[in-house]
Amino acid sequence: MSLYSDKKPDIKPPALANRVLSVLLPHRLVESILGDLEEEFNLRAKQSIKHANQWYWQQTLETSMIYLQKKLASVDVLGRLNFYLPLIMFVVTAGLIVLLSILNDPAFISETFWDELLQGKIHTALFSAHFWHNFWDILALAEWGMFIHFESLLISFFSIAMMICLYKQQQASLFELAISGYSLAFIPYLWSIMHIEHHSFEAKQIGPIVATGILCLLYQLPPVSYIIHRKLQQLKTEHFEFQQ
Amino acid sequence: MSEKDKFLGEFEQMTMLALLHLENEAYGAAIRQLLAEQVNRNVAIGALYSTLERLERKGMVESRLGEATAQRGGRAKRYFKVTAQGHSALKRARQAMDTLWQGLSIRHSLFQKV
Repeated sequence: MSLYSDKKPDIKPPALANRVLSVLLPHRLVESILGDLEEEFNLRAKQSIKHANQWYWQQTLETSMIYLQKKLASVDVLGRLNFYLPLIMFVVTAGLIVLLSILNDPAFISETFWDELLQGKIHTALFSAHFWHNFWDILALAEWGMFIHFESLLISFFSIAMMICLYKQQQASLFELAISGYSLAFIPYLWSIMHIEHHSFEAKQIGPIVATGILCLLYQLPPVSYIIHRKLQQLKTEHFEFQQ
Repeated sequence: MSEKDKFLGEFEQMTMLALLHLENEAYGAAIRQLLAEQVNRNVAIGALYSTLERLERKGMVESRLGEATAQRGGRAKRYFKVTAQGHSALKRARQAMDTLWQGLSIRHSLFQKV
């Protein structure tokens, strides 16, 4: 049974709307959804072409929003984000660690940078044009010793162990895994800022506290990204099996 | 199947009941129209397919491609059918609602015990 029997052959749904839907809809549903829309469009066009066009665009917009959201949350897009964002953060964090290790004159970054460093806020260097202008020169001064810190390694080890447990239990969703992983990576740095704020430390004591926080971030970004990548691969396999 | 997947949402139940009403003619446009006419749920075709896809993933419905017609610009219909697992889930959902409704009635917009 078809819902509609007659059709004016010269009336077609808006081509642009079809184009938008063809781009956004999953491949296996394009044919069925466009067919359903055209079938209903033809019935409505018998009464009023203007209203049929309006209805078609309304359906297109609502449907596009649904599938655009799904596309943005798709495994491929999330996979790319989960690779590039931690990679960028890793390189920038490494730059901050080198800066913390070699900096003799904080005024080189900005006039207020020394005060901000005393509060543990090394990330404020990211708002300085001088930091970005000399970023690769700073990074070139990196030495292995700057990146090895026992306390940070220990904290990171426990955080990553927690993440692995969470991943292996298979109960955490991708979202929960990502939130937990990246929160665990950032918490030591946030803790270092709060710790410094609530205690009066001498200037020479602040460096190691900040280093602990920021090195934890550096150590944890790659494994967290990898665990989330594994979860994404798992979801991709499940999705592929469903499509098959 | 996770615990969450065993339960059906209101729109999922409506969609599955529409499939049962339409029997062998349950495809997108027909389901959309039935829901609009019978229960005044005028949903976007994308929202309907999104629900059907989710139900298919849960194993509650299955689909197959049908014939292409001129009214559809030569595009094939996708027919949906409730599976045995879907029937059981619907039955369970109805029993749960019946149990909770027992001894209650709606009078003057207030829920009262009878």
